[in-house]
Amino acid sequence: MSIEAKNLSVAINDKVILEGINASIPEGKITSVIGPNGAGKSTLLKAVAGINSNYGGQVIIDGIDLKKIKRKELARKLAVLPQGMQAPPDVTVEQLVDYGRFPYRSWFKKSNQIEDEEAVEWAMSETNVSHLRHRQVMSLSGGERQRAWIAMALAQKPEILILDEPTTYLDIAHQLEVMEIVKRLNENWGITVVMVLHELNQAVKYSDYLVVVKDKGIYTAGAPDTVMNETFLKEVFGVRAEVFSNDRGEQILTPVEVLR
Amino acid sequence: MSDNKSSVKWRISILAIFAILAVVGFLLSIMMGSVSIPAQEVLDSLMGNATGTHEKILNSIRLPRTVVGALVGMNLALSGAILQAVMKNPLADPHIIGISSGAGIAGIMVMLIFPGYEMFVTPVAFVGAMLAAVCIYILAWKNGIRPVRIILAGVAVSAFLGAGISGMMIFNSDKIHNALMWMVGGLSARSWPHVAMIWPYSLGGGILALLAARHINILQLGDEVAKGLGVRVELTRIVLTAIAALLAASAVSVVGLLGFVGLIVPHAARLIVGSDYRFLLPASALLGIGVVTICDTVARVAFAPVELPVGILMAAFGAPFFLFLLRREL
Repeated sequence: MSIEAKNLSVAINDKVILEGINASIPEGKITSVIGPNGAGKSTLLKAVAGINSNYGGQVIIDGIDLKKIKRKELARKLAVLPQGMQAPPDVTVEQLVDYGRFPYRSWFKKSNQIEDEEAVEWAMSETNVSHLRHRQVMSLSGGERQRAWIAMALAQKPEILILDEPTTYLDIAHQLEVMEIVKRLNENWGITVVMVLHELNQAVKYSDYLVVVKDKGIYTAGAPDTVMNETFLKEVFGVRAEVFSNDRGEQILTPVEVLR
Repeated sequence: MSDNKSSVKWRISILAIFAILAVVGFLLSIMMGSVSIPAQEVLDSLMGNATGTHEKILNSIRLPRTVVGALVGMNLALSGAILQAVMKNPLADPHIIGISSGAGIAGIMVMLIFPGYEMFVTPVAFVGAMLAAVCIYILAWKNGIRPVRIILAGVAVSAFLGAGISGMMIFNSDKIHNALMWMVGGLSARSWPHVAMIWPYSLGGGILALLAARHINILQLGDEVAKGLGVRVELTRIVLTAIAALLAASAVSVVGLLGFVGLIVPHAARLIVGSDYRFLLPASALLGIGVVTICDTVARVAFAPVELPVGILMAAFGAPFFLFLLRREL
């Protein structure tokens, strides 16, 4: 499923955060939104995910205006994880993941229990939390907790997965674990992934497409090797950095100093 | 404990225990009082095949009073349980959406300024409670509702109305007795007309609350996650707040400003059955019935022939219990 933003503008409390954004996010790929703090990355994500519908312009999902899609219907196609999620202290991993089936349940129709169970099991095994199912979510380590939340999003059986800084506050091993899960979901199940990342090397390594947000607008967008270079880092982040390729042909960047 | 709490079996057995507690409280409240009535006669009377003075006491005094107490306990507990989730605040209860201060000022106004019209206390208090709740909701509205703004607006409006209550009481200090009883909350002399006033709200509100249990569960994950899962958060919050307001207003307008049931009972229930509202709501309702009927029985019997307003007893027990919960949790 494709996502497109047309002339998208968002203001929060009368302060313009994004203005005249035009972007299209490629179907079946991993896209990372990068940019400096306060550039409006999360705001862009929230508008595109339908969490904040207080925007001007249009968000088009699979050819349909986002505002014309019913909330539950959207939740069956698109799952989103914001930052800083919290669950009541006694909610277990399994319960949390089961909440991901909410969009498939209604007052009038009994949901298909087998389908629900299968989706929950699948989501837990994809994120490697099956063995933690009876643990309380809030008692898990940061990495395990993040995986449990991703499992909840997966139980929605989405075609699009939107993640806001999924690796922030995690140590390097857990960061890598989360990124590998995201990569597998994209490769094995064709899920379109859109995420905000701060760690540029990760963004380059795992993304097919980068969207760079700066000064309320889109600075540039494209494949990582076309976007990432020294001029870009200077203009967007104001740092001098060296970009080179390692033995595996991956682009690596090393920041040198802040240019102010 | 943690694994226990989340097993379905454990939660259903707790519900069963709470149900037994509710039934025991109900029966005790009918049997005990200035005249004790043996269980056999109570059962006969409930079946409709008894006569005599005991039967009269049961039917015109004990039974309606007990039913009012049970419904009040249930409504306040459900209301508090809903509000704690909707406001994402463990201290939320019917007070914070203005129900108590609204009902308080309206009821006291009737009692002190229009003393001939006391039969209107209940409907006027109900209107006052709902007006205060609507007022707080409107004051807290700014591009949608943030729970924190409701709580702060609630504190401000309650303080404002509280000033009015105190003012009226000071200017009318000679006829303050009824107003004081009202402020504390009690079941004395509550009868069938009061039952008629409260039960439609208990039934309707109770059913709606149970139907909304899954939505409330999702709401506890935060607004953004809930939206992502397909919940219309603003709408759900308004509807749930309205249900909570109706439940609490119907209770408070009948018995006065009964404190702590709406705060303590859902809290206690949550500690025991956990935060899954499919279990927490029925648990709160049953525990509310049990607590109010038992407390009212004690209030009638313990200091006989003096009868305490049940509100005093519940605050006296409720406050220390609440502190105990706080120390355990924080």
